[in-house]
Amino acid sequence: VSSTLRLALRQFLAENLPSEWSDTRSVASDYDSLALVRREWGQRLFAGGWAAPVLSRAVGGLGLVGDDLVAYFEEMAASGAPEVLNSNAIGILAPVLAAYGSAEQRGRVIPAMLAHDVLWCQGFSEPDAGSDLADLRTRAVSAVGGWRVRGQKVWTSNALHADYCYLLARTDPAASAHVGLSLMMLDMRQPGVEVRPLRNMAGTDEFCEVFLDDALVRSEDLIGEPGDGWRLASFALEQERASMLGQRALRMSRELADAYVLLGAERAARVERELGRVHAAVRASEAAARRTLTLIALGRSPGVLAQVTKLHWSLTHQRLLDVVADGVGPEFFADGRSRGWAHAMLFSRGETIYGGTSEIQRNLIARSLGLPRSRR
Amino acid sequence: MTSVRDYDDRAVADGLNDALARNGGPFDRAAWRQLAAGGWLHMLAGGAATPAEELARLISPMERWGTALAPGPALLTLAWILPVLRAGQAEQLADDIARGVVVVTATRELTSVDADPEIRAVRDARRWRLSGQARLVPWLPDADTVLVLASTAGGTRVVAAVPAAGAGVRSTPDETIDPGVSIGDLVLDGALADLVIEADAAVLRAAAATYSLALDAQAVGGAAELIARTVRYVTDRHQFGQPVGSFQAVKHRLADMVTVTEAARALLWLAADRLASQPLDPPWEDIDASRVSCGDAFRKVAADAIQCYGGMGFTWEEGIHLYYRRALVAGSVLGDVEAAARRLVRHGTGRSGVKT
Repeated sequence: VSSTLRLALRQFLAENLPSEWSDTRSVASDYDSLALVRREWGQRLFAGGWAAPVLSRAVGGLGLVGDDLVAYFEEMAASGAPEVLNSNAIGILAPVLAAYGSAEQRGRVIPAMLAHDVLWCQGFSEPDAGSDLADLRTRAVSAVGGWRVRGQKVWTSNALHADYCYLLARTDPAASAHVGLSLMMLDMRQPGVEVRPLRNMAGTDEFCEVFLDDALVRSEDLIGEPGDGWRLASFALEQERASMLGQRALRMSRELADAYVLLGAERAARVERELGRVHAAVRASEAAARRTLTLIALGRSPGVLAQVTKLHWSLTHQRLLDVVADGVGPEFFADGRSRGWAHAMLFSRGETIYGGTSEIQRNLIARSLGLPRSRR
Repeated sequence: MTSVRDYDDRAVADGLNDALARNGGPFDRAAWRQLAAGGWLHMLAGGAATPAEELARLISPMERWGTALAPGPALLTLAWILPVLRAGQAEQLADDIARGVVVVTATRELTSVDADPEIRAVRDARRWRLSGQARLVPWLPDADTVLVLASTAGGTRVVAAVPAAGAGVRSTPDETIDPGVSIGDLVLDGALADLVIEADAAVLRAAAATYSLALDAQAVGGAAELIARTVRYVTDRHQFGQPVGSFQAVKHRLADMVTVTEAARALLWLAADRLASQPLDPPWEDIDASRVSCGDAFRKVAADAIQCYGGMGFTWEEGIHLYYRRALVAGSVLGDVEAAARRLVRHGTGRSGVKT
């Protein structure tokens, strides 16, 4: 079965993925054009029926499992296709709605999300709630027609482009940290929502601060019951995060091949010792990612392999860019010639931070070993 | 290919555990014979499967060779010597080895994939005479017979067996820092070969790949054992009124030990699967990447384990140092990590990493 799917997907990619989109490095330094590419890629995947591999068929996904799902991940990674702009919402919000949303919510939200007619961002992190997400302070107070939300979100990817935001807000300040939260969908196009682009160290405006000043969440946009927020947000979060990061690790082999082309034999020889180590580490990351994705595809928990994959990939990617920079020499930092490589190096500093910092990953791995708890 | 296999043959693993219960010291013939009697030296010679297919099937229990630190040339025997001798129809010698009667080693030129022979084989009436040298031959002082790679006047390559002590054979015994791995330089001056078989390139490649992955399994098994021991130690050991394992500095070091080990293991399993599906055309990029990942992981984990054990890790009695010694010697003398890393770069730049 998987080879049939593989061939069909390959054909779709050959016909629909422009070759210049396969090299996201070349557009990474210009975030707005990358966002447009990612949106249009989402639209094309939707038109071809390939937008949501994991999501169940009942709500418009492909419902892939097992070998088919792994084949999907592998072919996408091999093609170098960018992530679609709504990938986060498709991976996390859509399955939550499929499982816990109302029929009205499913019908209204999911198809437009897959089609990229409505763009989404995620409002979880806050200035004082990063690694300790459950400590978030944004309040939602019951009001006429729904809820009034007040607070601040941060690291909100794509908020500048987004029409909607799915967010966690505290609806019961008296309840304990995890219990008083609710998951809701917020219309970004209203007074009371202010988006300020947050220029990252790579110089692009990919993520933003979102200021909420009594912004309205309509009654019909609460997901599940008040107080369900943490449970619902966790439902697909860990799995999707492991899957998304695993797919990024799968893409690294392609980047390694590009690195060898950029370096050439002579410059590769200059940094032979580290490059050989990095080469091996890239393959190990890829193998760990493949195993993580395979376990997910089989409906099994990847367990500690999810954290191992994230930590190993993010560190290895930084090492890869470092060794390429060292091998290429000063030219690497001449924008016109390095064609996005130096920017990729800047971006890679974020990879050991987002999606759970390396320190959090190490804490989780240590916990899985049964080491005694500490205060942190 | 993508379904997840657990590779865990419990019975094999438990049997190996028992067979290797007391180990880690110098080569011991009586223990070696017992190991042979248990069938462990030909654990990859099962049925119709190739050694590479058996290795993939048994990759998880194969880690037990590292848990207990494989004695003598056990991995070399089961992954390289026996498959090559059987393929060359040297059944008598192979049987004697499998029974533990004869202990055989092989030069590093033979087991690596990109070495040229420095030994010449000359036909003398109906016998072959060998001249030349091989340096740093592992277990030479413990072996009855040594296998060497030799070139003939006609330009062909042969695998020749010569007695480790005999006319025209000069062997300089030495030790390594690993008590389980002796070593020696070999100089042949017209030594008579007991046996000469044609060196089928495909057979040698398959054997080199299988041996490389067997060393990887030892490395991952050794690293996993050290992680388990270190977790126990830092849980029991208290300072400042709490287990030292509750300190984040210690936890994070252990998390890094787990990370390199698990990533290396994932790659080893992938490489073993791919080798099993194409034993005559080994996937060298995977195999070399696995050698580097597993070899480096073992070395890092052993060093970190010593650090986590503190002063105890530095003592002889605690025994952690035996793993550190094995990691260093196995990653250089037995399965050269540096050479594998260089081949990866050659592969990456489009020059063939491996001679074919």
